[in-house]
Amino acid sequence: MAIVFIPSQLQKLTGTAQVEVEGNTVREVVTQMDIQFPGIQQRLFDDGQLLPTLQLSVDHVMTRVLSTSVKATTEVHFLPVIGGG
Amino acid sequence: MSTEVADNTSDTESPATYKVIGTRPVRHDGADKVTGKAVYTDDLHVPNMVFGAFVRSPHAHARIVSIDTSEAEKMPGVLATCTSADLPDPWDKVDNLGEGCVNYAHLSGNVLARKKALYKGHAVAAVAATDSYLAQEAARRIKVEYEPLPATMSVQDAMKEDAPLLHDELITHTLGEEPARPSNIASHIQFEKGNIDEGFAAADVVIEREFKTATVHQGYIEPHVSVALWNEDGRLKIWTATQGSFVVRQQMAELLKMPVSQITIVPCEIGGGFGGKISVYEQPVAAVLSRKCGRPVKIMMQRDEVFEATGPTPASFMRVKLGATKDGRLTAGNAWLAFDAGAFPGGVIGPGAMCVFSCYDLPHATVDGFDVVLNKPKTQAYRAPGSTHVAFATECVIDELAERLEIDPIEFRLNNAAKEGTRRVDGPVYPRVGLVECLQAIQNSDHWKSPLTGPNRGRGVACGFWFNCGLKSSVTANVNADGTVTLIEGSTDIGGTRTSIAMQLAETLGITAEDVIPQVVDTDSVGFTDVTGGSRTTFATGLAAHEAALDIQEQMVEQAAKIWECSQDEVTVVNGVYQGNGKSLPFKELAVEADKVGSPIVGRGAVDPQGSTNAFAVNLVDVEVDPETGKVTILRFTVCQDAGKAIHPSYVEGQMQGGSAQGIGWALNEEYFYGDDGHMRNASFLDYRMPTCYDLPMIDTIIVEVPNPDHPYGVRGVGEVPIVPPPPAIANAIYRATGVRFFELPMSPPTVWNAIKGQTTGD
Repeated sequence: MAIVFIPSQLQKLTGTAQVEVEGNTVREVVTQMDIQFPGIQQRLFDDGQLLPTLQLSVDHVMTRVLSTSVKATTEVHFLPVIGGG
Repeated sequence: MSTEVADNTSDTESPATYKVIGTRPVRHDGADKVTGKAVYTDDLHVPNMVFGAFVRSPHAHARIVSIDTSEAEKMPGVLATCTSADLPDPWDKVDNLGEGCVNYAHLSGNVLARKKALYKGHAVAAVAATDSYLAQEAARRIKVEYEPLPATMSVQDAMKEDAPLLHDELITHTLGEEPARPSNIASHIQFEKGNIDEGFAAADVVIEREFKTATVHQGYIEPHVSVALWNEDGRLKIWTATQGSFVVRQQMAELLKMPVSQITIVPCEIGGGFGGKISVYEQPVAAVLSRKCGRPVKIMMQRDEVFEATGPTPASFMRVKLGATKDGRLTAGNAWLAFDAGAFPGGVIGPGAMCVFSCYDLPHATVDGFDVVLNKPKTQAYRAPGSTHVAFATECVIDELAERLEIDPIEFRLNNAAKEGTRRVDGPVYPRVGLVECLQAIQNSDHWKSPLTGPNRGRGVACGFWFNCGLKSSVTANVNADGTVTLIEGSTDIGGTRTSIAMQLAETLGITAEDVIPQVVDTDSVGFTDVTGGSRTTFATGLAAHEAALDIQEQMVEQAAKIWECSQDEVTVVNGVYQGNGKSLPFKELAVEADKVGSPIVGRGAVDPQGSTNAFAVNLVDVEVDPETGKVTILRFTVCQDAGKAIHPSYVEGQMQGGSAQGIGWALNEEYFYGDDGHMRNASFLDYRMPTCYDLPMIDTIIVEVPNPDHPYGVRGVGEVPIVPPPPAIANAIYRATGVRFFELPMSPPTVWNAIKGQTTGD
């Protein structure tokens, strides 16, 4: 289970800004979310992987690792990747 | 210079005492640097080396009808020519390079133009010859027929429905529904938090302003330069000036469709990067020319090429609206941001949109960000990419709100400052961060407490944020027979990181910094290491060095147990002194004994820390404005920054001062001047006005240390955030000196003079 913060541009699919979704990892959460809200995974993933232009914030830590574990209180956000100087 | 280090460990944390960290040893590469012995790429003279030169588009936008290299190829001494036809067909693959992502089709098309030249200076062809003058002459004899097209040079123009399209099939990328028609808007990012209608309804004061910033360049002294050797066995070796040798290898492998194992990148010393030496430009071209002529090829850009054809940071158009209550609480914010990506998608709008309100606890906000292509060079990062632009907008509106509400500008910021538990507009919640401590340190500074008097003078303050990052780093550490340690690392050293990383290894082992010999090596000689960028190197490669030191310590315990004929459990280590079976030796002496009895001791560190380390900086600046000329003189400048822990305070101060100097240049003078034809009119250091020592006072530094809990020594990283607050701090100071608020960068003498004149004449 995790609390997924839905990007505002995808909220047409979910009708809400946050959803609670089953799963033990981020990948499982996204897979489950796509069952509840068909088409959402296609907007976030390409060929089974997170879009290269995106990163995750999982409990406020930036990562791109889809096997990151989640628990009931875990927050998942989808954010743009950041380049540094 | 006054420097303070404020210890901001909380009551529950005991300040750590270190022997090496926090001291200021002489940098390991210092002697080579000050005596001119350090080897930069242009110092290389590889046997049989020849020289390359580019043919560049004279048009800002043009279809390439034909390229005829025959006349150049007939010239004695010309060995090879090269066009985009010599590069493998690019694939439309987007790759994450750790520090941002790249589309290889776009990258290939930027390295050598394919069907169209998309900006003045876009490389179209190249030539290799036995000397550089001959190469330049041969480049002039390559005939390129163009069909000029209308160019678009500003984000506002490029976003218009009838704007000339750069890429006929570019559809705006958004997480939501994508438009059906192509445009110059490459992507649209959106964040929402709370309900801004409610937020603005609760405000007593609402201020909305529009801002523009000009294209500026990182201005590194060393131009882009590489030597490529494509060997007969198919292996490719490149010596180059880069912020990331492994990232260059990755780009080269994709562009040339070679396995990474066939490519070796040798990072030479680097004369500045600041985000501009991550993407490849001349490297693939030098490689192809080398393959074609069978000799090593050196290409070094001229300064005008660096300005016109590498990666400056974007121009922008921004609209920011903020609301606050009478008692000084922010209620809502709205930002609309359009950043110039240059000729190919993938600018810095993402972090810009994430940073626009990142210093404040805003209950309600929306942010829309647009990545816009136009006929200028592909933009790149420049220290905290995107954050300086948006800080200029937000911090000027914050200052105006504080004034309207008659609240001290620092108190207003403290009322609303982001702290542990604050949820950013883009979603994540901050862990422990140091913005409040930085603002308080400025409040307690001698500068703030010293009144500023005199006509035409004003004082300004502003905050800035940058994420900082972790990413992958690897080191190997070899214990030598005399007890010193050779530290092998892959992070190119731009700002003294050899020493700051070595100091962390030394601290962990209980030896001196001088006992560590750091070496930056090629991609065959160390594990994968991401770029020196993102303020990550002292943090992440330092973490790898700490891990390698712990690995060494474990092996030393094993050897000590053998030497002292006791179990490993009986060996203890305290501050680098090993004790066991009634005996005791410091690290260096034990290493000498261990060398005689056991296998070599080699430590390994490989890390991939996730997340941001969250850096904040605050500026306080006093200016004097000459009403006759509009020239702004910086009288006094203080930068305060949360470093987490300053490993080598001199280098932290150096980063803070260097970033501030660049921010001052961005604020007051630097800009690309474009003519109506899309040509840059000031592509030289004579005309592109960067600040010199004559323009700057000594920049005072205050290092705040709120330790990063995710690093053994509390390091946050320091390199980027100091460039963020100078433009708004200076704008706010100029307002107090002149009574005029500025909404456009740079605030150069003619701009300031015209504004003052307009104020006095009522224009």
